Amino acid sequence: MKRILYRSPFVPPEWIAAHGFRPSRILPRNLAGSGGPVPTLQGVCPFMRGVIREMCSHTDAAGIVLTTVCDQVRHAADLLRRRVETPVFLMTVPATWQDPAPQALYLSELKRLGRFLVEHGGTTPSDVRLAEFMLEYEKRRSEWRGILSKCGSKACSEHMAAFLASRDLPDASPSQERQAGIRIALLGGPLHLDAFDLFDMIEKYGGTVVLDATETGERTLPGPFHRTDDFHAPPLEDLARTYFETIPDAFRRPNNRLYEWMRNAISERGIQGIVLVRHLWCDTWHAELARCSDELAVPVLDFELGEGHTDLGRAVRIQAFLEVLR
Amino acid sequence: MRQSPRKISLAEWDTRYAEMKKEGLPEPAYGGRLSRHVNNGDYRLKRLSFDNSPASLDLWNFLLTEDERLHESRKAGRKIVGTMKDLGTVPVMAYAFPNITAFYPDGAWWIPCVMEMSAGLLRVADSLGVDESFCPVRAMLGAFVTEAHFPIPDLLVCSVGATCDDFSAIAQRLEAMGHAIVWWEMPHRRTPLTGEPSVRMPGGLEAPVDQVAFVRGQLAKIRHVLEELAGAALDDDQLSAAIRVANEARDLLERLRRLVFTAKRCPLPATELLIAEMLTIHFCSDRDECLRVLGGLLAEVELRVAAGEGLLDADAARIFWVNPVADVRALTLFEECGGRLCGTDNMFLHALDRIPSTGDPLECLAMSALSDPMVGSATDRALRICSDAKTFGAEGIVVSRIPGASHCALEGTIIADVVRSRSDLPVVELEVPPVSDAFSSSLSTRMQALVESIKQRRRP
Amino acid sequence: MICAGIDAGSRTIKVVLLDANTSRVIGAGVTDQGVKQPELALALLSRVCSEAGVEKVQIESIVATGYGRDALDIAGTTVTEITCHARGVREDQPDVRTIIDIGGQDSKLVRMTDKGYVRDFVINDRCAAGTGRFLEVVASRLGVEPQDLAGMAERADSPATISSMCVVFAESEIVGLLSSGVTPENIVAGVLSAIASRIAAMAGRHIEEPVIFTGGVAMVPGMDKALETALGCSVAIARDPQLTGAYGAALLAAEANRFP
Repeated sequence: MKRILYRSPFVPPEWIAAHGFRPSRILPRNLAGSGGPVPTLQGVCPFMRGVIREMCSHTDAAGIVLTTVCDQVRHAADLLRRRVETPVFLMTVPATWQDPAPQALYLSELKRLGRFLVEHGGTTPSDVRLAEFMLEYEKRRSEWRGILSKCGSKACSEHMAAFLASRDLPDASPSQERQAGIRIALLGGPLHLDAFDLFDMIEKYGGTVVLDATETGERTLPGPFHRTDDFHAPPLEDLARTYFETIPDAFRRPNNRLYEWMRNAISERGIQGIVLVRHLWCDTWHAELARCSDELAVPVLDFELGEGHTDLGRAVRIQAFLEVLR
Repeated sequence: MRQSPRKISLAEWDTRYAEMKKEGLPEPAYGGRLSRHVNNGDYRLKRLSFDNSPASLDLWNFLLTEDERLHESRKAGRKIVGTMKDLGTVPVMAYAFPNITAFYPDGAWWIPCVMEMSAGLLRVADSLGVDESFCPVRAMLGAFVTEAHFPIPDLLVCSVGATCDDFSAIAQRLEAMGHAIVWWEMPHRRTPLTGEPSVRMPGGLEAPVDQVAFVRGQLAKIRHVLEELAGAALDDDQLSAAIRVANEARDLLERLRRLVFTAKRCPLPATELLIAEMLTIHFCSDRDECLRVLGGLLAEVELRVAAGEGLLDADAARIFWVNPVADVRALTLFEECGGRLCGTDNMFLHALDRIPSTGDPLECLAMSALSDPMVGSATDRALRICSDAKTFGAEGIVVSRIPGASHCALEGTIIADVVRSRSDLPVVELEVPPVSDAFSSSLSTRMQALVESIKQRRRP
Repeated sequence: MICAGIDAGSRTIKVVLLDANTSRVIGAGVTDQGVKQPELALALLSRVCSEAGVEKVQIESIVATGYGRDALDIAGTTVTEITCHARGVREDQPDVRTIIDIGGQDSKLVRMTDKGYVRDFVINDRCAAGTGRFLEVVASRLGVEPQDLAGMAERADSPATISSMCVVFAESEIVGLLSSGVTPENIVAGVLSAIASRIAAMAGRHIEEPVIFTGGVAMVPGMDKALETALGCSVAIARDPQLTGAYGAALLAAEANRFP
């Protein structure tokens, strides 16, 4: 089965799967080095560069799907079209959400994505087929959510990453035991695979991650579908509504839903500190840092990922933060 | 009163101004000696050189007194709207209301340059967590905090989506500080699918009908908000009339640009042309006066071209300039290094192109907005640059990166890529911070080298 | 007709004397840069003239280049390093398509047309990570002289990865590598590779051959190989790479006299 590469949580994998492709969310392993099609320029997000490098390496993919949630990725779509043969689809994900028009635009973009998939070898799914995939993913997300609310472990995040990358379930189920310690939330942009070590680092210095609200974590799992028991109405509308309405993110305008979601999580999980993970040159999350400190009633640690940071330097930050919280 | 064109210093302008006054210089209300703005903190003027025409004096004085006009508007009971990011769309609509004055708070990005950091706006932005990794438009946050540069608007409107992460993030920070914003969505302009209904738009672009309809819907929302603020409805005839006036300004600018870029000798310095482009976007808070100032400048340039007069060396290297500079001193330096402008894309060409004027006026505005070079692909933008560079006979291209602007790093790469694949024009990238004095040596090396390589190519 | 080119670089001043009639280099010299730049340049020029048996008054035309070019009153004309390096390389290698110049404080990549003109160029003078300065910092941290680095790199068996984009932070990284037992030789090899990576980033995707390497850093053995690895193509070192700019300036001085 041919793969469709994507990255953003606003691209529903069930929609790709229903068209007969294997949806594969791309997370780069590490960000070091200057190789690949995107130059190591000042101002270029290293995560985005890593993603593009990964996408270029999968020459067997049937297509690449990127979204407009970030202007670097938007321009990366341009760059990719000039660098690879694989068809590239750039999907508009509206930043605003207050009136019905942006959601309708999101739905129409999903339909356009469907046409792209069919053009490149996919099959238009029946409502029943789409509903089946929606239920399968919903079931999986429900399991993850259950585990994450109890433990928030690295293993679960890795489990999610592995499934979303290949739709194959890893052999080992994530542990449901949570280590005791200072209760930390991760918030921010996506973690690359090597950055999952952050969980270990936090545990090593006496903390425990009780919420992974990074882009690769629990925050971007869409909420339950509205009508999972009744798919007589077009399920695509439900899919669009759920993805568009239930994923709180920093790029939304306004983004107050992200703060409401975080306040609830802080209160429900007894979070004592937040590690805000952001990539070098990511303006969207960088600008939220001061606001997080102002508005979320727990200490916030700025944790930048990218070139120029050593493991030692990162460890010192985490250790010091946990010492402060203690 | 009229002299041969040349670039003069601020001190020389004072002398010239005194002479012109004696000769009975007619002046607008905001007229006066240019150097008086230095007393208000605009220290950068001392390091610039200026065109010596009375029309350019009006241009500078008009630009540097916008804050006074905004305060007068407030006193006169007019509603003030801060239009953010769209650069050239919402102000057209806002000026259709007789009791609304619109301006771009984004323009604060030049304050750190003009005031040589003395206003402390970037320090305020730093303190709000928006540091130098963001583009200089972060000065806007400082301007809202200090309230020293414009009155706090009655309404803030901001376009988001396929625009710019820096500005979007900064505007969000502003809203979190208590300044409510009406957001409107600007989707990424895409190429129509095969068989999909599409429309031709300004700048030779094409977009799907559905996208134009979507943007029209967003602008309809803004119209409604403006109507509520103004306390009066805006009908299509009024909006069409506003578009006609905006097009008058754009027509003046188009003629001005064409003359400046194609004249045998350069008839106007790059800085004055950049200011003229900026005025056209937002009318500098007085639409009628803006038309008069642009008209005056065009008349002066027409006279110069007809007389074969110019400011720079006749063999100056003809350069197409991409993106605005955070420090206008860089443009003076550029001319000192032997360059002249032969085309610009300062990221708001949609605000300089004529707005379509037949049919539903809101749809016409939507097409104009959707033609924004920033919301389409960088390849589209690069193709327009190639086409304009050819039209104006440019011999080289400068891509000026905006420090901290997240879109610039990759966009510049793509533009250079496309230009190299379509022409043999040399492309040079450079970055200009808000006060570039410390970098003037490295900037001039780049500019001189570009000029040298262009002149080498001219040799038979 | 005798012409001279003076390259007032950030770390050294270079002078080349050219017999324009025969296009032969008749003298050349290098001195360290200092505070009194015009005096240093003049002294060097005098020395080179003396060694070549030429009186200074015999010099008909002088072109100055380098970051300090505007300070040299003895020069009749100033031309940028880009043009001078291009001219200097083109004289020996007319088909050159890419020039990489790594100096003490900056690095440049110049693309040439097939007609031998500068097509365009990229300069890095904002970050020391792609320049000779990086090597100096490393030498200082390792307690060796800069000229010793080359031999050390050749003895490396497993070059370290230096991920920092900033020399200041790279210095901290080196401290960490040393404390974790990485040998100085492997660190130096890693630094050469990091410099080469920065140059590769400047080059972008398309690099046209032949590629000629100029500037003082070209004299560091192993640097050309690091560049070849990073760029994925052959890199040849210019003849007297440290003097290329001054040589080009002298050639331009001769041309200016011939075709004023």
